[in-house]
Amino acid sequence: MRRIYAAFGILAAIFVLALYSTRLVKTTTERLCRGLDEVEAACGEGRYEQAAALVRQLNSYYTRQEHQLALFIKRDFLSAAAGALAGLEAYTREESLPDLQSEARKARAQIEAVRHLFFSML
Amino acid sequence: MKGAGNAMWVILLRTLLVYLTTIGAMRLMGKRQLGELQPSELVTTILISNLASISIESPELPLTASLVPVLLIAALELLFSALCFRLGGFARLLSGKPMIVIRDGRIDKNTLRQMRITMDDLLEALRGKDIFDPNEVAYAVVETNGALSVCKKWQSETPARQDLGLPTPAAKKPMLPLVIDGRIAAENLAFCGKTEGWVHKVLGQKKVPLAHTLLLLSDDTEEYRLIKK
Repeated sequence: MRRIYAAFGILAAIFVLALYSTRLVKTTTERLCRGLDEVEAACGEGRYEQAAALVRQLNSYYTRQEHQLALFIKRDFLSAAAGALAGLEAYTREESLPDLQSEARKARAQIEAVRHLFFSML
Repeated sequence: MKGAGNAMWVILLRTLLVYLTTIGAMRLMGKRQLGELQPSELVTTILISNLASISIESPELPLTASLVPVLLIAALELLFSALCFRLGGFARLLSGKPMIVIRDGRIDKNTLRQMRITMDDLLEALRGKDIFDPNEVAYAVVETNGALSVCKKWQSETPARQDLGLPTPAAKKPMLPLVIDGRIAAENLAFCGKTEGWVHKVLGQKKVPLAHTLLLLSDDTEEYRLIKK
């Protein structure tokens, strides 16, 4: 009988873990995409210092979340997203606006790939 | 170089975690996995062994890619086996039912065809039971785990002590280990109607300390076998 209770306990723990990981991936990717929108908006309005600070905040946030995400998502995908985010700060200058937009799109695509990898069914 | 060293520690830690989790899962599922396997148990064992190796072979994959499926399969196996215990219909759905292949020396060819068992397979299984003539068999069943169980006709059965009129031995209980590798087996002691005091008395007579006893066998008489370390 104890083994049956243990089995139910394991199923409950797996269910909770699935819910937690779903929430983690969803909130992290949404936060990063929102952050990228804010960076692009700041650069478009000429607020380059603020954009650079936003990029640093995004990188810091992602570094904190990456440790937990690594429990659920392949490291290659996480590293690619980290690399894309890390390169953004260099483009937060007036003369690099088209490059910033291009890099932000690339970063967004990497983040979407992380999200898709987690939520795709088959 | 530091990265390579850290990677080695990560592999060691992941291997240890997966190994301990797999052992825990197999222990949780119990001794059913160690004997003849039912179809669902065979699938479980194969899947668990393959899944457990995923995180060890591929360090870039998340640890949960191995641990969660292993634990899920163990939990499902436990619940399914409990359902099989309570619902006969579910057990038949999961494992099938035993099929009679020989009745009173006559081979049921339709059942063999249904189970896709060739005559060679059947004869090989009978030879494994030391039976070389199907006519000796009163009743043979292919169990759900694929094993063949045989009941011989009484004319072919090996006679027992009772049939030969041999006197009954004094011991009513079999010889069981009462001390194994220095540890007293309390359940066997109780089954044979003996006490720890008896064990220490015997060991004292032979001047062998308990810690130096490899094996002490006895039944419900005063007979015993003692093997020292």
